[in-house]
Amino acid sequence: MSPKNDVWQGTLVLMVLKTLESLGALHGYGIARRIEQTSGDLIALNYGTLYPALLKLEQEGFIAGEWGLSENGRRAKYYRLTRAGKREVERAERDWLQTTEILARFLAPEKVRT
Amino acid sequence: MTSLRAFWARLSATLRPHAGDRDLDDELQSHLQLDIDERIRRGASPDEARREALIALGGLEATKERVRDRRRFRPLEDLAHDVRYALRTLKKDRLFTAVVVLTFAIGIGANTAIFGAVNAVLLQPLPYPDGDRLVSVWAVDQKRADGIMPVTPADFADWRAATRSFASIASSSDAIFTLTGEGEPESLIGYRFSPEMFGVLGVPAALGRTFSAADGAHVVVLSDGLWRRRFHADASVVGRSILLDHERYVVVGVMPPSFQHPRRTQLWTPLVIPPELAASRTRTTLRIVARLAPGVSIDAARAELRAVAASLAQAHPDTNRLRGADVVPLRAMYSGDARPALLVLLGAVGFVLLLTSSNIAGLSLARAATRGREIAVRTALGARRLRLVQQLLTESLLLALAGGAAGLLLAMWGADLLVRLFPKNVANVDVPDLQRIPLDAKVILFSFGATLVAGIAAGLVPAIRASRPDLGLALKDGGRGSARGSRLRPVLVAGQIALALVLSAGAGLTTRSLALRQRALGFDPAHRFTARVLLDDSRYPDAARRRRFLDDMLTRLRAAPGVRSAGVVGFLPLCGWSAGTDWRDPAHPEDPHEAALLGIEPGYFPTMAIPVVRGRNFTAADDATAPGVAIVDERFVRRFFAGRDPLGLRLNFGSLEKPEWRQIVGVAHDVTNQPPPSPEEPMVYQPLAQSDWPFLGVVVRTDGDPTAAAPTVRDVVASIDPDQPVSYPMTLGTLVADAFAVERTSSLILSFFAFLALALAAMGIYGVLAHHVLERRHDIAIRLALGAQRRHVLGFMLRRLMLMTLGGVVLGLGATLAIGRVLQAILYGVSAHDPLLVAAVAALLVGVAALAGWLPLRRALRTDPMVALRDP
Repeated sequence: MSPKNDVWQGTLVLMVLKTLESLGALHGYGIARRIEQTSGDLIALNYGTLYPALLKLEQEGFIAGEWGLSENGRRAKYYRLTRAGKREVERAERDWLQTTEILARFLAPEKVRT
Repeated sequence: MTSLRAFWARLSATLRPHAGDRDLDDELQSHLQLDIDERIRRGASPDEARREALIALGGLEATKERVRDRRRFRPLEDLAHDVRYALRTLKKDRLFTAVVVLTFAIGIGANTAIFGAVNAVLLQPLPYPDGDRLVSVWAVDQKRADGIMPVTPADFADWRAATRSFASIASSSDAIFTLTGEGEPESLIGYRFSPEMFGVLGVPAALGRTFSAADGAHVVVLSDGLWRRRFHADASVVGRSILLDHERYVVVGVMPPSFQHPRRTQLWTPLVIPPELAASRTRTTLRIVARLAPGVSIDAARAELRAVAASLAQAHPDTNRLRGADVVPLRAMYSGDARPALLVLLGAVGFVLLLTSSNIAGLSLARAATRGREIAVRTALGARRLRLVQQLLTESLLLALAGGAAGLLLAMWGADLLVRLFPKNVANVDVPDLQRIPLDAKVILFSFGATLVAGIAAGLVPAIRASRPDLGLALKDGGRGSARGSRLRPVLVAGQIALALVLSAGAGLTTRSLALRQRALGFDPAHRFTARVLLDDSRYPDAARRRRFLDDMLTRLRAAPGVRSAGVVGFLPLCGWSAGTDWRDPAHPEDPHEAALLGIEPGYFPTMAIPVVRGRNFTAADDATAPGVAIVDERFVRRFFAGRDPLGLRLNFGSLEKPEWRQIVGVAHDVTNQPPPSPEEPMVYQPLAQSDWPFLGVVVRTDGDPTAAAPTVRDVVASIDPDQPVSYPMTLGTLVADAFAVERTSSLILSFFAFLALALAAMGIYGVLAHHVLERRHDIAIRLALGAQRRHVLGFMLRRLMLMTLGGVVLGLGATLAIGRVLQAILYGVSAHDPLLVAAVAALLVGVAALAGWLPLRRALRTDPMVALRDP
């Protein structure tokens, strides 16, 4: 999967938000690993692309970062959803589902007709 | 909403460029550590784990850069960087910075001051609510080019009934009142207002009230000025009655100081149109002001009114056949005679700004040439071209901003100077009373705009030029700089010479026009005292009584000590008042001509030293019982009788039905009667004994100081009638000086700008040649060392100088021709293309160029080959 387009940026943001929604506070590395695992290792994430996305979400006030300790005793910056972020997850999820549904009609038209 | 939040986050991060860097470093280090831990846990060696983690991240620095880009605004950050960089470079080059800032300051300061004056005189809103909806409405005599005239009562009634474009409309007419019973008698300029007029203008009285239709004819509203001057600002004057033309008028109110409609009016009385006048379509007496109805444009109102005028022309062909109508903003009535001069000055000062910008562009080009190495290095290190242009433009704009700030200070001082130069208390020309030039928001905005334009104009060409260095050459060149800028600079200098030439030509033409006009007055202004006696209608209702007053006054004046001679004319020359008459040549009686008209008595020509060039002057024998006579001026003969002798001809100054025949008995020398910018018309003089004038312009020729005649005139008039005022007492010299006050001021300011332009152009020429000499000093040294003649070297330089100068002069001559038509509006007796003057200015420019070029050329000749060659 080519990670170099706008669709990818949008989906990455949604993946980050969903990950934080289901797992609570998590550091950048953890988020990246979780996305890889959830995708069944179909996505080989360039970890570096994650950090501008996190900063953007933070600037928009959807997530907030705080330094803490990891389970193996390393200092790490933990991100969690803000209240605005929780609303944003719902909105983005709805949008995405709608988009995929519409797209699905184009991609498999026969099925829809039957 | 969220994106606005992100915007602020990025903006504040831009202002603190390094905040967050530390946090990001820590976060990425922590990320790597966690990844390394994980990879080691899965069996990788520590080195291997570290390498793989870095690859998975996609590079540490690249990631940081990507996050930083997201954190702040890149263009803004670049700007901040450019500003810091520019400040550093400019600080290193103090002399350049000082010269450029000063040059900008002069250009921007001069522009701000002049725009301030334009703003104060031409752009201030009328002091009436919604003043831009107010219009003045005129009849138009379609026979004449600029034929707007007052409206007849019957036409006005029809206009008012037939138009829908005006929310309200009102009429007025001018009048002169004699105030008596309050100390010294005084003639006052008044206006009769129809009762609606105050409502149309929308201004209530400051004290008391304005009048209404219920008030009858004998009420008066005073201006603030008159109230303070004659009634000591006493509020109890409201309700009192005062004597105007020996009739009682009750003062009902006093207007606020800002209310001056029309300008200089001292009191207002109700306009009562007598029934015999109400149906007239020939007496053009009413001046109309209207307020446009909501949503109606001035063009729509004009179109509607013209349609009404056209239908009136059909209905009343006898009177209205060639009568149109026009609607103009009331604002236009208030800028007065200073308007053309101010606009010319604004144009001129715009040229000065162009000149300063071009001058600075030249300096920057020279500097860019010596900075070629720095720029080449930056380009070699990967700076993009657009960034370089941005960087250099930032530098120029910073300099312009500094110059603009200094220019604003200069403008404050300049505005003070302009106020002091601006004509004050001028009796005969309509000049707005300029008390101060406020540097308000509009002026500051203009100044800022001028700063940006100047900064970009001065910076763009050098920036683009400099951003394109020939890398190899500039780096190899050992910092001597490439010769590329030197091809553009002469073009800039030629442009500067052209601009300086246009300004000098403008200054020369206006100065010459003023001198010519003052020299060709046609009369001698020295040792002469003047005053105006405006005879009071109520006391002098008929010609016989007026004549008796005139004869008495002249007899007593001529007998007074210190008076060499005395004369009387209807309107004094240059006093700003004029009258006209139709006349018919018996050869073509159906085709009337127009001429200016003056009544004089026989003493006027000798007292003014106006020669009668052919025929004779009027005599005491040319009285009411004698046959009608007239004298015309040479202008009249040239215009209407080219090649023919009009002496002895009888012309009809009446109508076809009621002819008024006069024989031409003399031709007088031309006299400058009209103050600029009014054109001079052919003149007909008639004896006062045969044509009745209520206004008398008195001229007294004295032995010594003319002001000594002031009490003489006052006493003589008072001895005949103690209630008769004497108005506008002044020497003839003052009268003349006042008439040309606007011209004198503007030609003085233009001359100053021309001087400035010459200095700037000289600086430009000097700069180019000096820089050229510096650039070529190795070249020159080698040539000299190889035995070249100094005059060959000189010849080369001279060719360059001549080429620049000639290019500029040709360009400037072309531009002068092109703008001549604009300039002609303020010129008199001089063609804007006056070949002698233009040639003189061109010669002046060549002289200045030679002078400015001399110093660098001399240096070129003195180049010591050895020194120049040893010098790196």
